[in-house]
Formats: sequence, structure tokens, C-alpha cells
Amino acid sequence: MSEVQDAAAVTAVLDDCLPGMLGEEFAPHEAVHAALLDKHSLTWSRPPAGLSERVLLRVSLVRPERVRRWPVPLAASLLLVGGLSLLLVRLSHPTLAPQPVAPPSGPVVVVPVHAAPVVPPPDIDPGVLTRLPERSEPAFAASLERPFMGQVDAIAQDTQRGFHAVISRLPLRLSMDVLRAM
Amino acid sequence: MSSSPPNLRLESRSLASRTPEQLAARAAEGSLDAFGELVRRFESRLFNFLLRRTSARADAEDLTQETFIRAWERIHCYKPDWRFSTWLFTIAARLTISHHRKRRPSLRWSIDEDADSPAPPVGEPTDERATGAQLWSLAARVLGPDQHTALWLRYAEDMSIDEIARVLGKSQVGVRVMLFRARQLLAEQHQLEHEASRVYDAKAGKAPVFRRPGGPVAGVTT
Repeated sequence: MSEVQDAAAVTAVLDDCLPGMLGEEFAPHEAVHAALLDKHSLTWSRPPAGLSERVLLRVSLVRPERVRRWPVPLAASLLLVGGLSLLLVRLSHPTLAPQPVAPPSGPVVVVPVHAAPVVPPPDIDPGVLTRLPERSEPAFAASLERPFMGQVDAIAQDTQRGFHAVISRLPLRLSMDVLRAM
Repeated sequence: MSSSPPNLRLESRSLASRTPEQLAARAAEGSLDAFGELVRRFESRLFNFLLRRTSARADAEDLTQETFIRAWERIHCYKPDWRFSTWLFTIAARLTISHHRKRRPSLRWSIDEDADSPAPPVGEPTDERATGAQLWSLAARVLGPDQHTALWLRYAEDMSIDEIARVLGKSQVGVRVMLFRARQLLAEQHQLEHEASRVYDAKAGKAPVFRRPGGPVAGVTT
């Protein structure tokens, strides 16, 4: 048997007082156990005089710590409310996550630069660069900026809606009219 | 004739009849008298426990005070699922670990230098009591601090394996192995010293001398 199994068997009989007989090889354990069980064989040292008085004097100057149970639940509930609000906002206005770029599955084939002759596309107007200043009218600029401005408006609305959702659940006693005016 | 008021006498009499767990519950309600009764009951037991965990009486005294103060500060944390002594000794054991981290002990404490009741001489065991005292003396010299403490909690404090494991912060299996090895080591060492003593007696008729680690040379008569 391993030492752990021996220890379990011996302590079960000697310390847990479970019924059972120990083998002959554990007779020294039983002898030591029997000798140590005698309380009079213990060597007690007397504590220093006045120790309990000194302890009580110090104890009388110390207040027991009181249990402060409110900070943790308050923090947890605030975190929960904030998290749920953000989740609701995100669910009502889903945004597209950027698509991960898939790594190339096969070996990368390097095509030599001069493998094929470079043929210019036939429909390129060579005078396009010289005519660009003519296309800088406001309508053209607005058509370029329109998609970006739409994105900016959507982000601003999302932010404002999330802000109202969080603030309305906090016990700040602010009027919602004031919040809407912000 | 006592000058204390009758209600105070009644209070102290009722406190004396209460269990440590009941006193701890009263102390948790703010009763300093109940805690004072706990201090008086556990002062000696705690001091002797700490004496076996530290290397000096001064350290044991300081830690005894610290343990009681910590227990008073945290008395509301005590749950009566465990005996009060187990909870108190757990605090003491943890404070001792912090104490050892801060300062390494310079000398190993020797029970024979400090004992109020002297250990009986090593030699032919006359009865079980003499053997028990010899074994405790041996335990202070040859066992490691955790083994010695486990043995003390088991036999001096009558703690179960589960309670010892809680106090020492070990698993139950660990405590079982610790007690098993401690008793085995004590049996072997006691047998060795007993045989050495007999051989020495037969040859020289003089007392054998054992050198304690870190302590003075002690002559032991047979």
C-alpha cells in the first residue's frame, strides 16, 4: 500500500475512531497514540501575567468592524443596468461588424511583373485630370460627402439614445425634458 | 464581601455557564463581557498553541494579543457551523504565517527551556505518562512546525482531522499524512533514543547527552 493509503487507514482507526484493527506493522503508531492521549503528559507553559487584562484593555479601544453590505450590491446593480441598456441599444440598432480578412488558404503564387504585357485600358480619357477643377461644384462635393454624413448622423443618434437609456435608469431625479434638451 | 452589583454578578455567572459559541454570539451583539470571558477561557490554550508555532515567548504573547484583537474586530464573521476554538486558532495560524514572513525566527524554540512542568527523564519508560511527556519533548525537537502543530491540535485541543485541516489551511488527506508521519517519526526516534540510552548506560554508566538543534546541550539522566 502507498503511504497515503496507510495514513488513511491508520488515521481512520486512531483519529476518526472508526472500528477496525490495525496490522502489526502499525503497532508503534498505536503506542505513540496511546501515550499522547494522556492529557497529563502535555507540557503547558503559563502565559505571562496580566496577558488577558492587556488584551481586554486593547480590545476595549477597538470597535468591531461593521458589515457594510450596500456598496457591492449597488455597484453590481449599476453595472447590470448599464450593461443591459447598452445591450438593448445595440440590439435595436445593429451595426455591421468588420468582416475578418480570411488568410489565403493555399500557397501564395507570385506572378512575375513582366509575365504578361501591360495593356492600357482603351476607355481611359487622358484629359480627365485636366478637367477635374471643372467638377468641383457644390453638388458634386455634396454627393461625395452624403454617405459619410449619413453615418455621422446614425452614430450621433445611437449615442444619444444610449445616453438617455442609461441616465433614465439612474436615480438622479433629472427631468427627462432636460435630458431631451441636451 | 463583593462590591459588584447583583446584576453584574448574575451576568458573570450566566456567562461562565455558556458555551464558547454562545459567548461568541453575545460578543457579536457587542457584549465586551462575553468576549472577556472568551479571552479568559482561551488565553492559556492560545498562548501554548502559538508557543509551538513561534520561536519565543515574546512572539507568542504578541500574537496572542493580535489574535484576540483580530477576533474581536471580525466577531461578526464567526459562523457557529464551526467550534469557536477552530475559528480562533485559524486566525492565530494565519497571523503566525504573516509573522514568519515578516521575520524569520533566529532560534528554534525548545520546550524544555520554557516548560513550567519539567519533562520526565529519557530512559526506561516507567509508565505511559512519562512516555507521553518524552514524546512531546521529542516532538519539539524532531518534528517540523506543521507536524508539531497538527499533533498539538489533535491531542491537546482534541480537534478532528477536518478542524486541523481548516486551522492549518491544508487538505484532510494532507493532515492525515502529516499525523501519520509525525507518529512514525516519534516512534522511530523514541526507539533510537531508548536504545542509545541503554547502550550508554551499559558501557559507561553515565547519562547520555543530546544536543538540541539551536539550543544548549542538555544532559538527561536516567
